[in-house]
Amino acid sequence: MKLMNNITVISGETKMSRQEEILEKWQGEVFTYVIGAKKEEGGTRGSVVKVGGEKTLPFLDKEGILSNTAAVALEIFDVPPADWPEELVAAYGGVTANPLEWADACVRKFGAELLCVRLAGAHPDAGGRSPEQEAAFLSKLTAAVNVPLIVCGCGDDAKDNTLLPLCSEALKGERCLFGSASQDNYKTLTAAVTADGHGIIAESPIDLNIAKQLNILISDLGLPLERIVMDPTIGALGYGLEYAYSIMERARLAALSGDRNVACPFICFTGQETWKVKEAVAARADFPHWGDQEKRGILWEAVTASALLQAGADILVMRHPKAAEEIQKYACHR
Amino acid sequence: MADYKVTFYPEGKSVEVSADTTILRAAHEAGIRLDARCGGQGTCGACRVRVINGNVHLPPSGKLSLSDKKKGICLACLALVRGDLEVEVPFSSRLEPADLAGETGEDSACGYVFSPGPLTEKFFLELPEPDQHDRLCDWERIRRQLRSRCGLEGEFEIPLELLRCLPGLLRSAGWRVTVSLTRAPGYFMVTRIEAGDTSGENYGLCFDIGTTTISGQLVDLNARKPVSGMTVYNAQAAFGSDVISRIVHSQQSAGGLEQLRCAALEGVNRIAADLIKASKLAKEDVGCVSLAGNTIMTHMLLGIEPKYIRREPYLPVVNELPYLTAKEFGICIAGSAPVYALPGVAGYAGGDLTAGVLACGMHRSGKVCLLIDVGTNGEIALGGREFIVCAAASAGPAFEGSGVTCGMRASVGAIQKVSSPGRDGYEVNGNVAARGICGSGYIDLLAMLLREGIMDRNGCLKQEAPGVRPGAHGSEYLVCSSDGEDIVISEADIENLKRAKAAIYAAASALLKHVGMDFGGVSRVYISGGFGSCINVESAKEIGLLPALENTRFVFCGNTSLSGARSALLSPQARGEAAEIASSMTYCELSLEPSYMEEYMAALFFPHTDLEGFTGGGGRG
Repeated sequence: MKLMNNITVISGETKMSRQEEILEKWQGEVFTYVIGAKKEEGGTRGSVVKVGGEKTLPFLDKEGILSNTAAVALEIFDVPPADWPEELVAAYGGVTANPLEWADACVRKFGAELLCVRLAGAHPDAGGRSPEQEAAFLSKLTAAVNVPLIVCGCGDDAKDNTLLPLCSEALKGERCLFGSASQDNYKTLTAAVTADGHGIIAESPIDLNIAKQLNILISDLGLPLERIVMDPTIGALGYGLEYAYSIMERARLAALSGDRNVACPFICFTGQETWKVKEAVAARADFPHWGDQEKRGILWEAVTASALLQAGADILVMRHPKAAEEIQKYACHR
Repeated sequence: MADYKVTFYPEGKSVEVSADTTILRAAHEAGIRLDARCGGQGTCGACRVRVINGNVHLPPSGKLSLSDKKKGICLACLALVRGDLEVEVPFSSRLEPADLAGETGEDSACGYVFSPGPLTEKFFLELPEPDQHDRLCDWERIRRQLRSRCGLEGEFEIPLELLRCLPGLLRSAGWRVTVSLTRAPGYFMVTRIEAGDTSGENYGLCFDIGTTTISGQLVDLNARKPVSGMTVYNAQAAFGSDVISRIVHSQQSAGGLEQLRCAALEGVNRIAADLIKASKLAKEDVGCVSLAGNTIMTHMLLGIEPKYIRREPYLPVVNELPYLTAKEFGICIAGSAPVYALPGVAGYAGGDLTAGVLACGMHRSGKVCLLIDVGTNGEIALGGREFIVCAAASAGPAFEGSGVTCGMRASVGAIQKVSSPGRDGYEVNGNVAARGICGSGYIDLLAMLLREGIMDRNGCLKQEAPGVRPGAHGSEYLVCSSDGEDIVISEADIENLKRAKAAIYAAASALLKHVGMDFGGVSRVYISGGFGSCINVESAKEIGLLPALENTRFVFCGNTSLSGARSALLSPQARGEAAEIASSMTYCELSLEPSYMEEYMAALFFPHTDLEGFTGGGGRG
């Protein structure tokens, strides 16, 4: 983890020169969203995670207040993940076969403050678990762990529109974050989370205009902008990361300049994007000069995540616990 | 190969064609104009016809449903004739609704009055009879009189055919004749000589040659006002709805350019013939023509190769045309009558834009004005006395009623205003049953749908809203039913209109950025286009077609291409200023302007992604 340590040291020791400091003054600020509700707020979480609230660009705390550190969530599935490389599965020591044990390991063993559960098993191609089954699973999950939750559908619009409303109702009061709404399919999920007191993930295809339009469409339906978290869609390092970076940076500059319609925190699905690229998953036997595969994969995820932190990410959904641990250290310096 | 007979109903017109000819081609030969806006590629599905009887070969098409096929419906552009056929052509597949005439001449004048002096002037001459002491030849006798009595100075020219008639005419008319003269730059051209005094009657025609429609007016040059007017669809639409697909057609098929030339000319001649007939005139009574059109239309109308306009660096063959004669141009009026075309600026900014600037008079304004021509080939001009920059915005024909399910031109039967949902919420042109929706109606309709929350800002209809139902192309909203025909707007239509309005708005805003300004600095916005009587500025702002400036800054000018052409017909000053405008205007190629695409993407929303500064109502969901 030499690379990460270096970054930490550099950012920790940066000193301004003695010349006059020219500081930007920002008018706007990013909305703050609190994920999770404790008992006194009608939920059952043992802790909550606050995201957003920036009044300046990331790491530029001389120009404004960065009230919350970026949050790192570990990602779990409702069914054993089919397309994860062996090394990633092995990092969890065999618990991925049982989602409840997996969740427990994330929290107790790896110290996750936030969990993102993906209901992949509901997808028609993956067995098509019923909404009732998934809602029951989520109820068990909330009993098993007490950290705040992010809940993602299976990715099939038609299925998600029957699945997510039921899951949203099952978690009513827990103030989760539900995803994802897109420009073509946002009405059902928006209505559900509005009624049940959750927040929503608004997903746009690396396009600032669409991101902003979707926020407007969702808020037109009655869900306040303060309860939206934007998924700008990202690519892993070497796979379009720079496009995502510039879109996020532009959105954040607009938000800080006073455009409320893009002033929502960002969520970035770093793990999902990283653990499908060749550089992260190719075996050492195939590319001997690329070095150890596990280390390489962890680094790939961590470097991707660190770049996104600099672009303004507020929530990073990660897969490898080691990468998550490293990024957590880095995120503290934001 | 065997010839087959194809009969089209309800006309009962027959043509003989060889095997494997498309029905579209056969219809064209029979003089039946089908709507083939994709240029006969089988992609738009507009040319639906029903085969009543006979053998056709049908390539597969995704545009037809199973029930369509059972009824014998096929796409005319794909179906190949394989035997004698009887084909029914429904009203909806035709390029022109049956009753296109009936446009009155007057449009809302927003411009400036020019000094008089028609393109063709008439002079009544009482020539002294020649004798031993006055031995000038016939032509010199006329010239002497023109110089001495009429005070005209300069060279005179006369075509051979007039010289041939001259001796007989002068003598039979007792040396009393009326000479028609055209003031060309540097000389006078005699275009007609009539017996007796006919100077009281002097007529001309002016035309707007649009991509989607062609409009014309018969103008009384003495009274300086239009007598009658008419608009027809440009029959070139059979070769594609936009200029680019027509250029492609001109390159791909032998004689393609000639087909395009004839199609446009046919419209011009139809207007000329109908207007002349309606005023009980003879075709020789029309002594001059002026026309304004975008550069590509002008090229095609004259049979000049347009293909280089399509390629970088987008150069036309000619911007400023010489004076032509009616004969060489091909319009059926007095053969030597002059045809004047307003000069263009660049490949995508033509004489119609010059005419627009001329008509609204922005080139004389001390303040900065903006002219927005909402046409298929939308054009924008920005500036005033000091400078004018212009740009093109390819918006598509949606606001002219083409390429949308129930779209039509602003004529009788068009829904032209919409204020609320339901039976009483719309107004039909001419107090007849509604037949379709025109541009101004669409603008109002979109604003109403947004205001009432029936449509979201993205243009999606709310499934559970009253009036919304599933349709052939996504959901659709039922505006009204009349005579058993449902008039609807579909989500695909909304998408088309959204793109059109975004293209126009983005072009205006990119052009402003180009000169370092924003809408706030524009003192007056002139809007032109074939909307019919008017557009509701409030609705246009609500959907983001126009910027949110106070209403008093907007001036609706109607068809400025036509009124500019009319001014040019009536005044040498207008023609002079048109030349100045065209040569001083700077063309800005938006495709090279990085901000244009950005502006366009941001404008693909109702009213706009940047809501600030828009009076956006609606979207309650």
